Amino acid sequence: MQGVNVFENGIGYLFKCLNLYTSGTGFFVMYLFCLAYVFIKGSTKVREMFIPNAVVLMITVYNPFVPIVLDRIFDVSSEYYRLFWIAPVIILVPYVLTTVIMDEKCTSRKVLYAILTAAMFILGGNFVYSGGHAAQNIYKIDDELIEISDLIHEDSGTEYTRAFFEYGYNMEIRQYDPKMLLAIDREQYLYAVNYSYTDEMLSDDGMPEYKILAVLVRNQNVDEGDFTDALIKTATPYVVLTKGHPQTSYVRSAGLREIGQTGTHTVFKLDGAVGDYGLVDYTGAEHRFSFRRLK
Amino acid sequence: MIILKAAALLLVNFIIYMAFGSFFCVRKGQNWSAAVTAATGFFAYHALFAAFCLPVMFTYRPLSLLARIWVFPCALITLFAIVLFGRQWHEKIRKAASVFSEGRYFFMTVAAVTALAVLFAVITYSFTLDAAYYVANVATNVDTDMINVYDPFTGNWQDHFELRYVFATYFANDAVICTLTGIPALVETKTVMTAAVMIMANMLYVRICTSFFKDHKRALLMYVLMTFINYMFISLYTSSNFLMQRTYEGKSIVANISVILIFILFMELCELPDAKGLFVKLFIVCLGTATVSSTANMVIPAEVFVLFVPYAVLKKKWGMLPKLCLCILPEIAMMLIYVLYVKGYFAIYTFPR
Repeated sequence: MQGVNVFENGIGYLFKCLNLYTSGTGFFVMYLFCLAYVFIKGSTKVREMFIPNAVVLMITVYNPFVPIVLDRIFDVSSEYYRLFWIAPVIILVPYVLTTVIMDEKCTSRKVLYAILTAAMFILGGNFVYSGGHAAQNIYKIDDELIEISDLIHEDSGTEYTRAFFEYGYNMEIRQYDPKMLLAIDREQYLYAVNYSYTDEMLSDDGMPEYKILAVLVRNQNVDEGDFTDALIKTATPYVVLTKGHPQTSYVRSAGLREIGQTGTHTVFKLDGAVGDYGLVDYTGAEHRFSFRRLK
Repeated sequence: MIILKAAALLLVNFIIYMAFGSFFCVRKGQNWSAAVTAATGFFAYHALFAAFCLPVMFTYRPLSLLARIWVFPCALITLFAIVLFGRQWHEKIRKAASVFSEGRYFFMTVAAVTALAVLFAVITYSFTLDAAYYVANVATNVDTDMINVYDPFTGNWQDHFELRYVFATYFANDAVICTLTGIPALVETKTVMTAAVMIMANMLYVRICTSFFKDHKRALLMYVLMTFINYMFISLYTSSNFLMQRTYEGKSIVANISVILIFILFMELCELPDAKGLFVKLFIVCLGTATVSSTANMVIPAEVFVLFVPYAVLKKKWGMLPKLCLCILPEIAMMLIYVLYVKGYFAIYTFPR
């Protein structure tokens, strides 16, 4: 889970994890109540289906010491929450509520239980599409991104080229256009979103990406020459920025020229950077498994 | 045109899943579930696909070669299944038609709720960081005509295979389908497979509801509540969120198909302790899940342990334990390989050295 790790939190890790997992929804609590209901009123068969595994879950997955032990073997911090999927919340809660509602003989009470269930789900849940919107096209990416891709390829005249995009587009462009290579990979970008670059990092010639990110993501001061050198070293002729990006004037003054605009983005080009790229030639390669022990 | 192709592909997918699943689930004269058959078939399909894909990938042969090879076993198995199980399929459809006339409202509501869930999942926009790897991987494989040798994030050539993902050949299968049909990677993943997974999950829900309640009214209420939970039990991490927003990802399949299907198999065990073929199905599901997502390596052994071991202990069915160990063996093996890779013990190169 992002920002929560076993090493820092110790036995508190599990509770932080559960908090993030449930995120204010009440379904896990409902699951616990339903377990109690089945334990008290369930048939033998139903109890057999839900109770023993719930007990084992509580002893193992929901035991705050287990992530600590597991973490010694391999890093489970970011993935431990996936074990919460095992609890059959989506089966047990509807089963019990259906039984409670349908077993009620009095119609008005039946209606009341149904209303209470709906209220519990609505008030105790987060609606999945509350902030959602319909995709603009069958590819489920912005029309504008398609426009930018066409614009760059038309300008580059090569099959492959390389560009810098801001966060969202950087993550999406290659899903649509694999011929668009990227200067920055996902982990590098995520680092830049969270942390600034130190002088030591910026002087590392082996990582020109740091300078690009320092300028375009962190808005840090980097010499214009160093910035364009970084674009050349990473073979990145194109930079795509949203209109009104704080570094637009910096980019222009560093020598990048605007080659086009879309609704909300401007595409810049550094003429000195060559973004052509060829695939590795496997035609003469021996088709044999190649494996090596490293340690 | 693309939408029509996607719809046809969805139908073909289910015919293939039914064909693969029939070998493990359909027995003459015995009752069988179409939902369990299709879902088991899905995992059998992906397990067999991995057996074809890995040798091609590790010997640096092109994706198009894998696509050409894969067509044959796939077509052959489907044809065999039609010959061997065609009568049982026909019988099932005939039975379903008669059940439909008895419980028209139940089936129509289920169809409408499922269709709505598919529609929402297919038409809504959702941004996830992981798609930057998974979907771009499909697009990159198709574009470069190679399997997993280029970094999906940047497009750069990789020195060695990223073992965290390389045994999960589910996305290589998407790339094969794109190569064979010409359908774009984004449509295959975010429309075709999204719809397939959503339909399969809902089929499994119906199977659960109807096994708890023979009365259609009760089964329908339970099904509606299950769906309702999927719309409301939302955080970045819940299985419902993966199903509704990140349906095409391997993790979503583990959380919403494998976990549920294994629970159904456990229910079958509780209902019919002497049912034959249950552990074969469980093995296929575990094996297939290991080829869908590396998440399976942690979740599936844990689920099998949590569900089946207490049962075996309480019922004193000790003979079940070795079978369970065998079922989770694929995940344990994958986990060990991954741990050794992460600890730096070995690497598999993307070019012969």
